[in-house]
Amino acid sequence: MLFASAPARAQIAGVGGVTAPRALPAPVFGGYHPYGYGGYGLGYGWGTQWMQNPYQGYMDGAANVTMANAQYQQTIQQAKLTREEARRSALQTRRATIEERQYELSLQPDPEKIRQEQMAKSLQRSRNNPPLVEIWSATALNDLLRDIQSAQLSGTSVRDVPLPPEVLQHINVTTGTTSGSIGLLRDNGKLSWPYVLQQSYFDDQCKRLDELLPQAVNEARSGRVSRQLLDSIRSTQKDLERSLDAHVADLTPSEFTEASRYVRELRDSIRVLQQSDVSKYFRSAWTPKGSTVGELVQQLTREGLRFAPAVSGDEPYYTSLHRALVDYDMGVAQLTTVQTPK
Amino acid sequence: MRPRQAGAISEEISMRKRIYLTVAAFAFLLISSELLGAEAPVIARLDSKDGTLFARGKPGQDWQTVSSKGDIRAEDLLVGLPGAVLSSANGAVDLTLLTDLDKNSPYPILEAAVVLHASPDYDLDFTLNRGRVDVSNRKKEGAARVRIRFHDHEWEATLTEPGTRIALQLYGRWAKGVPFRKNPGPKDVPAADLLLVVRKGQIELKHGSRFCLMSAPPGPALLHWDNHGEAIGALQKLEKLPDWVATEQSESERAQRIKNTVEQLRQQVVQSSPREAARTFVKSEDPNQRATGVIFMGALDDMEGISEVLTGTKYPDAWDRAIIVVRHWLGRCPGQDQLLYQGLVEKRGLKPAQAASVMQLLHSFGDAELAHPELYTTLVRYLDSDLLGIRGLAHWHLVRLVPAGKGIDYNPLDPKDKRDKARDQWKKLVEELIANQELPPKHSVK
Repeated sequence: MLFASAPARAQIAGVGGVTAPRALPAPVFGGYHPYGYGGYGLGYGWGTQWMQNPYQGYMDGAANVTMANAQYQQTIQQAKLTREEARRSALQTRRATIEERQYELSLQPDPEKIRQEQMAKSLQRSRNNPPLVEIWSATALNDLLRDIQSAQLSGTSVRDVPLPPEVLQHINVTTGTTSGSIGLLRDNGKLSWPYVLQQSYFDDQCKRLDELLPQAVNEARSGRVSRQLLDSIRSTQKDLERSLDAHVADLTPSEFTEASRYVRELRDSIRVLQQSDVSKYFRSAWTPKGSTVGELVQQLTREGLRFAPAVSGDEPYYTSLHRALVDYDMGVAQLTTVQTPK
Repeated sequence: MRPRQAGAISEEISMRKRIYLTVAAFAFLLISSELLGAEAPVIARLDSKDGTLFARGKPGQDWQTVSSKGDIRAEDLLVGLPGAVLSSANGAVDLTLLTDLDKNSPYPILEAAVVLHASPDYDLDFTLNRGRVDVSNRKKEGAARVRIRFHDHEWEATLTEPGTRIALQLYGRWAKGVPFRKNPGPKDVPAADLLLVVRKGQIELKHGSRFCLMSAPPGPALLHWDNHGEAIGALQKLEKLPDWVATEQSESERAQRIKNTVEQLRQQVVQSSPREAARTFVKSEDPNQRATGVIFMGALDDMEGISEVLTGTKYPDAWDRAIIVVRHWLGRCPGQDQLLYQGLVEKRGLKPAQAASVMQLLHSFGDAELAHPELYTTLVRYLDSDLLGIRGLAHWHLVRLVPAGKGIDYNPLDPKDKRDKARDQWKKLVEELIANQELPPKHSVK
């Protein structure tokens, strides 16, 4: 009982009935003082101004004991109720926690749903006059390609859109294993140097690459490009980058930007030359073909290809192809919208 | 020969004599006035305070401060502080030079300049060189006739009743993506736009073979001309005056700040000279004074002063403001960029490629250029340039195109070792953004 509180100890002592009446405090303790002791104390007071009938004291004491007992029971009951309330509250809290988790989950779609929503948004953006950067980087073209491929696979048939042959000659494709394409090398490795790189500062590197790249394309057609040749090409291309950087002060910002871009595209094309399946890029099967959007998409689906970024000079053709893909895809979208209510 | 024929011949001879004599008299008058250095006629007076208007006879001459109630001569180029008021010699028309105090004008006007012409047929005949002016009919009764010239156009406006007031705004700038060309063609000119708004009353406007009636809102109050589209658009009806029109009445905090600073500049001009006042202001500790000083330098064609700001200021805000002022200066009219290019090569000794780079960076980039990541790496590369102009302009573009780098502490005026550290941060940031496909910025490149 060491840990009982002071009022609790008083209760226990009182029940034993061994405490002297005088030891009881005055009614300072309120609810704790009764238990009948007061009755005995008062009962002995013969001859004083507080004289009472002896039975009266007894009866008072008995009543007090009864009242105290009732109060004790009430207190116990209250304690039980409090405990019950606490238990209920804990349960409620636990339930609320579970519900909160469910609430969170209810608003969080699964990752696949998120991916599909993102693709839908991206497709919408690619249809509606996207920024040039997204057309030339082929992002918009590939969004549309995916949608048209799905439509073709599901057997949806729409009015086809013709494609001029010169457009396809400037469209680059990739398997997706690298961001580059053979765009700059498509003329048997003969490069069409931009005006800024035709300046004398870059003569050595450009001439060397003019010799090496056609050889590399020849080798690529028949299988793989030899390591020695690739090393020479990479080394010359790095020399060209260094030379360009050294002459930054001699070039205007637009010249430097144009040259840097061409060198980056060259680097991307050289990266394709290192791939084990490089020969396929130079074969007819991986050359974009078709007189309509539908035929082009069928070929890309068959070969597992997608569009690669434009290289210098391809931009207008990419913009033209984008227009054609949008026309075709809008037909698909209209058909889907019409079919949905059914 | 019959007598009737002989009479006709002698009449023709005498007529020819009269014509020759008249031509000779005109020629004599012209030559003598040139030889004697005759001054152009006085055609207006300054109604506002001393130091609010500056006049220059020819390019390269010093600017003269026009005193209050002082004479204004024809053909002088007049540049005014906001609030300068000229009154035509016959008192019929007031011309007020204004600016864009609340930054709510359709075009970012910095200054106003006009040239007045002597013309007996009009109460006021002037060329709006650039900026914002108001023209008011101050007659006690009757209409006032005004000829408005700008670029290659001449409009005739009749301000039909006393109190009629119109607002004009002429602004030119190189459009986005138009590159600098060393040998420009006839179409390589800055875009120019003019707005005419009737603030009060009615006007009859004749432009070319067209004639229209305009009136203050609610009514057909707005006319827009440009040199890059349909030339002149249809009259537009306005329900109420746009906020930018009554700029001189603005009580905004910004307007008050500008008015206070302009008044300080005016007092400084009166104490010294326009040129000295501008130079004092650009070195001030007060950023408002610095900004006003740089704009004033641009207005006065003080490119030498602007150049000193660009090479010597310790305040990045003054540097930034100077670039904006130079871009405004280039857009005023065709040929300004050629003047600056020649100045950079001949006076500053830059190589042609360097001068062309500066000029290209003073123009802007087109959508096709902005769509390639190389533009951003090029700008970062130019942060290394030994030429302050090139590295400063590259940074000027970078902070606008790549706002994520605004926090990088690059100052083109810092010593090289400090600049290199900031340049490395820029390089890292741009490379990361390109790798994450956040550059080129998709939202702005259409």
